[in-house]
This record gives sequence, structure tokens and C-alpha cells, in this order.
Amino acid sequence: MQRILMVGKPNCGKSLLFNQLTGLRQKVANYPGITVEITRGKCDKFELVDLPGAYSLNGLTRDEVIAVDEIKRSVADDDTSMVLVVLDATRLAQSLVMGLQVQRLAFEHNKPVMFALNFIDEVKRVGESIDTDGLSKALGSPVLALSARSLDGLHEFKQSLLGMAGEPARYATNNSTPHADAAERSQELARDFGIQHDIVLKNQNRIDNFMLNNWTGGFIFIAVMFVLFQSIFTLATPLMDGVEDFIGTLAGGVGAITAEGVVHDFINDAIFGGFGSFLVFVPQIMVLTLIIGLLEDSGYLARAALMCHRPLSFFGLSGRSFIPYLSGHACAIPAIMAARTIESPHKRLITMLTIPLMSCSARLPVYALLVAVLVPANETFLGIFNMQGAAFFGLYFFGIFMALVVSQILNRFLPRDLEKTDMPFILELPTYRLPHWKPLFQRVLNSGIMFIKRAGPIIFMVSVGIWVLGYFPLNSTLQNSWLGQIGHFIEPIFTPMGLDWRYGVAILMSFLAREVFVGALGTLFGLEGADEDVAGLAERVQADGMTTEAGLGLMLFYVVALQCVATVAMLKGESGSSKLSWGLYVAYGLLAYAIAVAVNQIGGLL
Amino acid sequence: MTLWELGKSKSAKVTQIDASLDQQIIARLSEMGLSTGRDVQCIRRGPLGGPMVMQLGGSIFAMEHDLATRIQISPTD
Repeated sequence: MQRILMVGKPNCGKSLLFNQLTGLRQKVANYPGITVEITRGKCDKFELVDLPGAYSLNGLTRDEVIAVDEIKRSVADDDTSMVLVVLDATRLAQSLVMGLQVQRLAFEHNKPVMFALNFIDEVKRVGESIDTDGLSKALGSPVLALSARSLDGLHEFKQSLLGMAGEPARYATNNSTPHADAAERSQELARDFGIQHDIVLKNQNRIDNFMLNNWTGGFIFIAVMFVLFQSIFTLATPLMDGVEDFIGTLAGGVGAITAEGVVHDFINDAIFGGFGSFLVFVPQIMVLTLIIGLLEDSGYLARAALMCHRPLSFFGLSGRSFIPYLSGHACAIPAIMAARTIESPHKRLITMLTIPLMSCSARLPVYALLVAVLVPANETFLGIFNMQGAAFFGLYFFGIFMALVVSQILNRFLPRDLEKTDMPFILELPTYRLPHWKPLFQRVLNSGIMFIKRAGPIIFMVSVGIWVLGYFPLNSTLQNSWLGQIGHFIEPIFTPMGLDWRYGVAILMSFLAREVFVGALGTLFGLEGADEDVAGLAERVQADGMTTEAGLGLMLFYVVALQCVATVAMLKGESGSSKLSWGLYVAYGLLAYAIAVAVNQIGGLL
Repeated sequence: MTLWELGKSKSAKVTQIDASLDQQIIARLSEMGLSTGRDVQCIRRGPLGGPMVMQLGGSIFAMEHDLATRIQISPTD
């Protein structure tokens, strides 16, 4: 199929235009080697490809370099019939830099270019207009004004686009600006054809006076973070319960039609019990993606990164580390990818290495179990704060605190790669806009699918592995199974933590994926379906006599330990160092162990 | 004076950009509209030496201290 490429700078409204042209059926593909998410969809008889955004073909940050490589590769591809450059009509100079560079690139490969002048509704709203015919003549490629949001001019635009893509030879680019002149030329064109910025920017600056103010800005930031973390629980919990019920029903249905025996046990315990309990986290990741997406599309996230820059610099991080840290609370894997936007390679590496300390959603069931064991329900502090909720908050906070401490240490001792220049912190503050549901919906859906695709295979193998070790030799009790034998062998390691062999086995297993802990412990305590009944398991653990100091140590252990093989694989891919990634795995494991032993021993003395 | 010394709501013209900066950074600054002869306006100053916010043409950018001190300006009002 012939392809139309879409390129543009960040915040030019490219995703919404893509959605309006293709509908909601689209595919996010991952390329082998380096992970770049590229969205593809069908537009009439053409394939529309939404390439990642960049400010310029001279990429500064890792994400830009990857995007530019992809743009260059795609433009040169024989199947590409034309290139669609999306411009922000309200920020013409900025978007034309990239536009002119891409036009030149297309010209070199003999591909026609069309410019889509987006946000024309905002231009009209301030009583301005843009001479598209004049701009079109000056550029030497057709320019069509439209608004992907208000649908102004969209129909005409689509007709022209399809006409051009159908006969690319007729519209060959015959005029282009050499790369070296792109910056200068874009300023000239913006002066001749652009709008008066002051009216548009006045609104934005007025909101920023409030959002970035030392007092109100700080207050809004804290309020936004509070709502965000609250919704991880309140919004995601009913959805997670829904998934749990669904899996339970499915397991019941399948269990009823399979005969008793090894196959029945395998499907019930390994597939539904093990792999099924992993699917429960998917809604949480989607909820966090939704909120981060809302913040990003509205323009607030850039402001949050700006406000965090100074405080985070103190720990050797950048303001841009804020976004990966935030998404690390859902899952470390997309967060490590998000760290590509960090300008300095040194800061980027520190951020990537500390992301695993953020309490990702896989830790939630572990926290939920241990908090239920240690903190009595319905008890409040000062009559306002629910003690269990406060305990959760404390665990999240401990993770962030540890990340900052480790960052500070890494900043001191991690050797700097002198060949890579440190890029300065420059951040565009986009216009505040109301987010549109279509790209958001797409993004949320994709986050769930990508998470399952990425982590699914590993979790599946772990579930099967544990089951096999716990089930065989045939007709043995758990104590005598291979798993039990291993457990008794390793018990001395866990005695200083105040825990016996059963916890030892559960912890050991969770080194492959931490969400395994609750399920494994549940099986070891002889409680079927422990994942569905954390409260029941909590009572058993309480009755079994877990001490407060051992429980607290265990919780902190789970905050610090990097128990996720998928994260290590991602770190390896992004840092290019297998030694560093596995070293980190071992180091966080040892640090977690030391903390747990210290808490248990000191707690025992008090 | 340097860009970092530009007060809130004040405008200036860029007179010189430290040539010892990485070529890539100079190229990016010029793509942002920050090159010799261009106008720049300070929108706000961050607290505690945090990044300053400026207007360049039709866009708003935040820039940190280390870079802003390497750009020379002359005030226009």
C-alpha cells in the first residue's frame, strides 16, 4: 500500500489530525532493536503513518535523534508517495523550521509535500487570518488551512490530500530551502505571513502567572499530584475488581469443563492464578496514562517539569526527569522510554537507573497485603487520615526519597561520558488547550496493549515455572515439592529478616516479577485464589505471627528491590550496557535486603 | 549584559552567542529564533535561580542559568 507520512513539531496537533483522517482503527507498531512507537492507520486507499514529533532534523535529545532517523528512513522509502507536514498556525516560525527541513528532505527524494496549517480556528478567534495562497507560493508546496478540532476546512483538505497522494508525480516539490537557511527563512516567512502573537500569548501568559507563581503554582502542583495519586486508587480500583471478577468467572467456567488432573490444575493455577493476576494491573496503568495524557495535552506537564527543574538539579537530575518519574508509578518500562526526552545523557542515565525505585503498580498487591497485615483497618490519624492510606503514601514517598538519594550518589560517582556533550535545559511552554478525547482514548488503549505485549511473555513463563516447581514430584505436598526443597535450603538467608522459608520462596520467585509474591505466598499458605482475597490471606499471615518489624522490613524491601526482568531488559536496551543493568538488579536487591535486615534487627531490640 | 540578567517584562536584542558553545546547541538556538539581532522578552523569573521564561517570536521557552549566561544582549527599553 502507498504511504502518506505525517511529520510535525510536538504540540502541533498532529495526533488529533491523524485520528480525524483515519478514524479510531489504528495500529501501534514497534520496531525491532530500538523501540519507537509509530502509529499507522488507513485513510481511503492509503496508509497514513504518524511519525514521532521533533523540533528540528538536527536532533538534540535521544527521542529526537530516534525520531529524525525514522523520518529520514521513511521519506527515502519507495512506498512513501508523499509527505504531509503539519504546522501550528499560531506558532508559524517554530513549526516552519522543521517544515522547511522536511520539505528539503522530500525534495531530495523526489517526494511531494503538502502543508497542513492546523489550529486555524484559534487564528480566526483572535480576528486574524493567514494568506495561505501567498504562503503556498512562497513555499512552493500547497498549504491548506484547517482545524482538526473544530473540523474547519478538514473535508477540503482531505480531498486535496488524497488527490495529491494519488498522483505524486504531478505535484513534485520544485522549490526548497537548504538546511543551513531553514532557521532564517522560517523567521522571514513567519514575519510575512504569520499572525500577531501578542494576543494569543497574552492569554497563555495570564494563565502562567497563576500556574507558575511561587505560591499559587506550588499549591496547584501539589493539588494535581494529590489528585493523580488518589485516582490511581479510586478510579482504578473498581476497574481492577472488574478484571478480577471477569478472570474469576472465566476460570470457573473453564475449570468446570476440564477433567480433574494435571491439566485442570495447570489451567487453574498457572494460567488463571498466575498470568491472570498480572492482567489485574492493566487498568491501573491505563488510568495513570489517562491522567498523564490529560496533563500533557493540556500543556500543564511542561510547566510541572519547569517548576521541578531547580529542585531536581540539586540531585543531579533535570526537570524533564519529572515525567518519567511520574509514569514510573504505573510501570517502569514506558517510563524508561520517556527518559529519552532528557537533554543530558548523564542526567538521562541517572533518571533511568532510579526509575525502578518508583512504586509501580506491580508492587500494589504486595503493599496491599502487608499494610492489611500490619495496620489495623478503620483506624484514623488525628481523625482525618486513614491510617492504611497514610501507610501507602509513606511507601510511595519512601521510594521517591530513595530515588533522590541514589541519584545524588550516582551523580557524584557515575563516570561521565566526556564524548557526549551535555545539552542544556530548554523547554517550550506550549499553549494551554483543552485535551481532545480521541488521541487520549487511543493512547490509553495502547498503553494497556503495549504493557501486556511487553511484560506478558515473561510473567507467563514465571507463572508456569513456579507452578511446575510447586506441583512436582507428583502427589507431593508443597513442603516436599521441588519448590519446598529449595525453600528449606535458602531459609537461612531470610532468617535475619525475621521470615521463614515460605516468605523466602515467595521473595525468591518475585525476583522475576514482583507481582508473583502475593500469589506465591497464597499458594504456600494453602489458600486457593489468594490474589482475589488479599484480606483472607492477610488474616492468615497475622495469625501466623508475623512481627511488625519483619513486616515493615519486608515492605521496604519491596520498595527498593528491582524485581522485574522486563525492566532489566528495557534498561539494557536503552543504556546499551548489560553489565550496568544486571549490576543494578543485584545492587538494589542487596540494598533492599540490607534495609529489611536492619529494620528487623533494630525493631527487635526496641 | 547577559540574557540571565534580563528582568521580568523587559525586552532586549541578542548581540552575541558564546561561540564556544556546542555547534548543535547554537543551531538549535537559532532554530528557536534566538540568534544575533533577534528580539527576546523575559516573561518571568523562576524562584531560587530556577529557569527563566522568555518569549522568542511567537513561542515561549524556559531556559536554565548555565545557557542564559552565555548569551549577550542589549536592552531595548
